[in-house]
Amino acid sequence: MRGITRDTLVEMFDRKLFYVFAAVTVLSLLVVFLTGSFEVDMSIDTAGERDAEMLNEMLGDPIIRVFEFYLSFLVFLAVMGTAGLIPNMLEKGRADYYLSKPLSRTALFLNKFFGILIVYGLTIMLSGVIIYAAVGLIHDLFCTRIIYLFLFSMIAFFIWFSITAFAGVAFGSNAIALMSAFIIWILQKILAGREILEALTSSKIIKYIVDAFYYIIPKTGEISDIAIKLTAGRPVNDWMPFYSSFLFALALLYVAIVIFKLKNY
Amino acid sequence: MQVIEIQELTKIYYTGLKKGNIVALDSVSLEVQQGEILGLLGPNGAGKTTLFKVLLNITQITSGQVLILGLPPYNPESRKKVGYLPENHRFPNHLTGLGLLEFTGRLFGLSEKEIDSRSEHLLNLVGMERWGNTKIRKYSKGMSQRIGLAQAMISDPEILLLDEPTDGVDPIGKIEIRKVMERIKTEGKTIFLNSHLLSEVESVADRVAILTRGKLVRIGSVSSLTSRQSQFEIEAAIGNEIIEIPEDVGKRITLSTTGMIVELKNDEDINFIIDQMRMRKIKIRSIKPMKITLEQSFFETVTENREAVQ
Repeated sequence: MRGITRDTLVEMFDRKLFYVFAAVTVLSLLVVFLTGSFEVDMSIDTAGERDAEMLNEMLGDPIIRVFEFYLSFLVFLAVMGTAGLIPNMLEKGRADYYLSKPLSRTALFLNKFFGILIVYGLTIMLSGVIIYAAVGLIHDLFCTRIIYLFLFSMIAFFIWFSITAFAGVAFGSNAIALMSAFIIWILQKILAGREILEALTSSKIIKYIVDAFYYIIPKTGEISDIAIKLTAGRPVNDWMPFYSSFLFALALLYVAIVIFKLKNY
Repeated sequence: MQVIEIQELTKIYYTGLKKGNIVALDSVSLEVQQGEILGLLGPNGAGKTTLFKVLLNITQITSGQVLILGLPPYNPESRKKVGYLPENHRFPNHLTGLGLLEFTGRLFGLSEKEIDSRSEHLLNLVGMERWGNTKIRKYSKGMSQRIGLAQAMISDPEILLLDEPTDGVDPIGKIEIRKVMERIKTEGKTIFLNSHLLSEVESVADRVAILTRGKLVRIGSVSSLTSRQSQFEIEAAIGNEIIEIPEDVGKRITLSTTGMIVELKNDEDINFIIDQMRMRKIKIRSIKPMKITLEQSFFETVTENREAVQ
């Protein structure tokens, strides 16, 4: 594990992806400091618990939403940057090198998968922590529940990466890995408005199919909403998008491992 | 002791109905003994690389049995003591040469101390000590081969599978790699060598196996493959003497005052020829089984089998 994780880190620097994250972080810091000069009335006495809740409601939600968007953007960058890593490992001539080592294919795949997840996940976290620290310093606003946004961003990255990793193993192509993530993203956007789709047809079969797709396809947009609610301290009524998306990712990982074990290189 | 045992190994690539299936290996059986260098020869597409891939579970067996150091290839432990230099390799090119050795060592589960000491030694051994900190993507083909050989040896393997190890290497590099192989052999290691360079195989291999269209058509020592069966070159002061060879014994191919070449039905009949010459008091200087080059032997074997198939 240590070997592959360290190698992923070296590869990340070599592909200059770390510098992309660093540049995005620096630019965002500039934006934070520039917008930080706007006057925000912080003269609320936050001594009591109720006042803290008020502060959250007044200032928390917009900042949480902007920050959630920032983390989602980092996840998007990570998905773009990592989509080619598994097909790259399995390309002709390189697969021979990896597969000739005394590791089972399951261990090799999982080490690579979680190595990438750890390295890129930590990079997202680092960038997020820097930006949140800057926002917190300027607005004197720190909330421990922000951890939910970080946690759910990691889960979203896990889900997206399981899609590109699966496509990478099944088709061995960087392009298809990226396209598969894009197709799933489009599908989840369409299915998010499934009520409109269902209203357009009277066919029960089509409604069932649309519903089935909705439950199967991961719903990272709705997971973001769950994260925002949790961070803002509001109750979450429906955890289904989280469970179904997580299960989808696990199932894809399982199928990817099965394909990887059976494939000839 | 056998370190590699292959019995009735068949590998079929299923390519879809239109193209038909490809039989890459067809009932191949062979054994590799500890400490020997076995050369694997065959024309392009004969199944040589597939055989290596099957041994390492890179490609899976269709039928038959394979054991490496007593373990089947699907068991990752079977690769613990095997070093592999793939053909047309593409090592992770974000690494330096030294980085590749370190990474490979970690994949083999070696300690940092072991990796450090072996990396330095191997870089020296393959003549890459000056290039250890250069990125692999900047290496020439020959340098890539050298570093590939070093990574194959990082775990101090019992068996080395070398697929075209001197491909792209300059003549001096080829000699150096050959010396490395000879040195490895003296340490009691086994080398399974796949090479298109017949002279290279001839000079280093103890035994040679020839694959054609997925079938193992010949296997034996280099001398057995290069000796022309039942043909002998006799150097002797024959002068004007006439030595008759009965038809049931064989025939004379060439004759001169200083010697002749005979082809016998049985190798033992050479005694009959010797007796004939002694009776005539002909001074025999030498009797040698006729030798051909490995290249000739390979060409004849491949051609014969091609004709047999057609």
